[in-house]
Amino acid sequence: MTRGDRILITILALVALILVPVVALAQAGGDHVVIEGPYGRSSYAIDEDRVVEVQGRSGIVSVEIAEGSVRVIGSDCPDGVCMSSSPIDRDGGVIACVPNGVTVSVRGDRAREGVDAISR
Amino acid sequence: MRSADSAAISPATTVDVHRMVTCGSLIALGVVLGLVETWLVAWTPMPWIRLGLGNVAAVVALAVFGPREALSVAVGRVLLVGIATGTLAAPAGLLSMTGALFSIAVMCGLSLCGDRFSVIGWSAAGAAAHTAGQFLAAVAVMASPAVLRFLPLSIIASLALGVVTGQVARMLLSHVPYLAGGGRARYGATNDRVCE
Repeated sequence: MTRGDRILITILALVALILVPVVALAQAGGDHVVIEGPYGRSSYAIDEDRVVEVQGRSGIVSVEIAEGSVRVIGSDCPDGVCMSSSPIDRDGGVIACVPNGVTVSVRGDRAREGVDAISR
Repeated sequence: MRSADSAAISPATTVDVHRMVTCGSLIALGVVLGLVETWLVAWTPMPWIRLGLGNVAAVVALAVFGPREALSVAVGRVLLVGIATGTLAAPAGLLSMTGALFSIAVMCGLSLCGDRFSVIGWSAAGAAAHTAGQFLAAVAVMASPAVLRFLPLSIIASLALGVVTGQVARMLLSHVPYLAGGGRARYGATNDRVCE
C-alpha cells in the first residue's frame, strides 16, 4: 500500500464518517410504518400488530408489524435481501426490496419526511 | 479486445494474442468470482455489504493492460453474470452495471495518476465508487431516497473490503507469472506500481 493509497482511503472513510451523523440525525423511536410500493403508499401504527401484504413489481411483499418492530417476512424476489434485513423499530429505519420497488420505513412524529430531508 | 478482433480479420497486422487471451481469462475469472459471490450473499448477515470479489478481474486488467481492457473486462463480467443469474434486465442488473461503471471510472482515473496509488488504492476507491453508484441507481429505481440511509456504513465497509480484494489482485499480479509477465517491455511501468 503506498502513501497515496492510505491518504485516499482515509479521506474516503472520513467522508463516509461525516455522512453517518447526517443520515442518522433522527434515531428517535418511530410511531408509524410507511410502506411505499409501485402501486401507492400506505401508513400503519407501529404498536398494532398485523401483517400487511403489498403488491410489488415482481410479486407480493409481506410486511409484519409485531411488538413495535417491523420486518419483511415474505417476498417474491430473486435474492430475498429484504427478508434477511434486520427488523426496524426506529424513526428512519428502512427495509427495501429493490426488485419489487417496495420500501418499508418507520417514521417518527415529526412533520419531516424521514431521510428525504437529508438527500435534497 | 476490439483491436484484437479487427486485427484477426486483417492478416497484415499482428494479433495481440497475449492481450486477447488474458482479457478472456480475466472475464472468466470475474464471472466465476461474481457467481461465487452471489452464493455468499445468502449467508451474509448484512445484505448491503458485499465482498466485491469480481472486481479483482477488472483491477488486474487495469494493472496489466489499461483502462480500455479494464472496462471491457468489467462490463463483460457484469453482462455474463447478469445472463447467468437471470438478473440482466432486472433492477439488480442495472445496479450492478451502474456500480461497475462508477468503479471503473474511478479506478481508471487513479491509474492515470502514475505510481501515486497502488492496486490496493484503486480497489478500495473503486469499491467505494461501486457502492455509491449502486445506491444512486437504487434511488433511481425506487424513486425514493430512503435507501441512502445505508450509504455511509456500506461505503466504509466497501473501503475495507476493497483493500482485501486489492490484496487479492496484488497477489495474483505478483504470483501468477503469466500476469506478472504481462508487463512486457511497453507495460514495464506496471510492474513497479504493482510491486511497489
